[in-house]
Amino acid sequence: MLDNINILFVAPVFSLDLLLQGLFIGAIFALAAYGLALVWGVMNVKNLCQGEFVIVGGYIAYSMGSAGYHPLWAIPVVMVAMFAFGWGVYVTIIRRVVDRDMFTSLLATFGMSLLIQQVLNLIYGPEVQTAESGFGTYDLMDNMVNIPVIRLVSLGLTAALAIALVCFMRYSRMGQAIRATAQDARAARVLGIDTDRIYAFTYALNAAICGTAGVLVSMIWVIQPYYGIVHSIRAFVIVTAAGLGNLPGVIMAGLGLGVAEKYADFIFGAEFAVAAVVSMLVLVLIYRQIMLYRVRQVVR
Amino acid sequence: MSLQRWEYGVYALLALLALGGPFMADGAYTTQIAILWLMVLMAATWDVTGGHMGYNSLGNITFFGIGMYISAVVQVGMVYDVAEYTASFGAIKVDFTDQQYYSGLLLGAVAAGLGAALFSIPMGLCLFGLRGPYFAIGTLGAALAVAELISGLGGLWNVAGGSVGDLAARQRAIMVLNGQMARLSSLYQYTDYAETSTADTTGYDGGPEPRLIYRTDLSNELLGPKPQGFVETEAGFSSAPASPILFVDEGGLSADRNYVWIDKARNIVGRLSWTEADIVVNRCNASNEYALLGLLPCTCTDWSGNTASGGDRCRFLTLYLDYPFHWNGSAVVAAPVSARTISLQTIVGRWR
Repeated sequence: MLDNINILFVAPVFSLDLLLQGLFIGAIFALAAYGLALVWGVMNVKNLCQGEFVIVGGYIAYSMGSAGYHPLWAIPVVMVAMFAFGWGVYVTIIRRVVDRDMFTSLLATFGMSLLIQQVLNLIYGPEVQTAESGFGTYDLMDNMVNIPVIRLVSLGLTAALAIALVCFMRYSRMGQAIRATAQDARAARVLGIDTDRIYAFTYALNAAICGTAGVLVSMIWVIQPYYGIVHSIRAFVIVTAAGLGNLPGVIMAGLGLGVAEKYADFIFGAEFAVAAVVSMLVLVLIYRQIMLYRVRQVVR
Repeated sequence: MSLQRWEYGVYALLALLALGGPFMADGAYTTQIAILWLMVLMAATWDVTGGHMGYNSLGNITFFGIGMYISAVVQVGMVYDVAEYTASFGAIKVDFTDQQYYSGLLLGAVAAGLGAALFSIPMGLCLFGLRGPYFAIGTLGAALAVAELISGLGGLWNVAGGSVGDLAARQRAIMVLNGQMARLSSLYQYTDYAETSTADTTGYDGGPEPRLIYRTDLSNELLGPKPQGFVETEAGFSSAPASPILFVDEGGLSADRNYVWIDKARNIVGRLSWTEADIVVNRCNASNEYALLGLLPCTCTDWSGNTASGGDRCRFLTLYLDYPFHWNGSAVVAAPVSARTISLQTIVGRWR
């Protein structure tokens, strides 16, 4: 561990490499986290199968790549397919738990996530897969810093998608209805908004966002049936750290988590990478708890 | 809460099922029935925290796992050295006598309960402040963290699939490749006996075909000083090499590559090979150095500033490092993840 820290000081160029990789991957984390914040804020459902949506999107891209199409073409396909899938999941499962207490929805989505994991494992097997983009790599600084072109592409796509989402939420009728429902579902219902449909749309939109993030993950990183839960955890870390309805915060927390994860990966070794992410969740939750405690004391 | 009469009947039936389970169906489903009852017990413990206390824990399985480890260690430790047993990866089978087995099981179960309870104190201190769904997510996170930390302690090769992105291994591999590049450059600079062979191109799956072979059987070996810091060793990785190494390939057999340590602590090795090409120098700049494109033949400058005729004393080297491979104590085997290749390129001039 100290050796690895030492390497960072001896060869600062590694830091640059880690930083860039962290930012590229963190942008995608932020995307999935935004979907979680959306569902959390509007429906008050903590969606634990967030990561599985990501992985499903990734596997669709992988399948299309194996079938001879470029994985980037999977993005529109995944958007439509995951939107429909999310709508289906809402109608069959989430609708029944959305008004119950929070733990019921947590348990239902946790069960969903286990189910999706096992089905993916049956279909694709437990191997780690990646969708080949076939793009080249920019090698900078004597090959110490590699920037695959696909990462730049995915960063651009992520940014475009985020901007599109913000515009959609701000200016479209549906976006306004979603925001109204998030503020006060009962009032929205009184004013003629079909909140059930809004919930279904929100959940389906979240699935589509996650699926798109999954396509990008499959191209710039790896997918595996059981990696979904880690993506869920990442989304929770980001949303808990940033708070609901705080898009700049989600983006900053996403990028920060990406960088922190890459550094932890380097310093502690790849075998502790997941442990580092999950520990970050526990730390963020405890930190949040301490801050809330202090706020309560001040109020008293 | 008093029980109805029919409920006594149900419980009696369940008890009968539990006690009679192992004797049913010739014991064919003993494991399944045992696990079924384990799950019933797990559900009952969850009922205590989630149902009665109102703390919806998703992390109870942590204590299950801790109990498993503790009871296994206690049971094996009563008759055998645990460290040796673990290191053998299942090669050692412990033959328990009945008395050893059951006393170990009993003691193990008690120790497991105490150990898990002890562990729950720090975990509870950290997590009980959380409320509602945050508690559920927090316990899930804590359970995953403990599981990942324990599997991480088992080393990289126990984390199947090379874990997430294998960044650490890649960074080490780049460091190693940089080191080998520097070594190869010095070999070129200070010796006159680095020779190449393009004869053997078999057995290489992708990547470079010809490779440079560092030979010691050439007559001009004695002319130059040996490069500092090299340890020569026979090709083929017959014993665990010390670092730094440069393999000597004397026979030109197809199977041997130059294997180098990437992570000695975890027995990860990389496969080093390289190609070299003449530099066709065909245009000079003002200081008589080569340029990549141009018209006129020219000379290349060696490291000490002397000039050489074109393509004679300068080489264009490309190094390839395939990783990760696993050194299992007697041979190099492929890693559970597909091998990746990193390449580096440089131009070296030979000292004359």
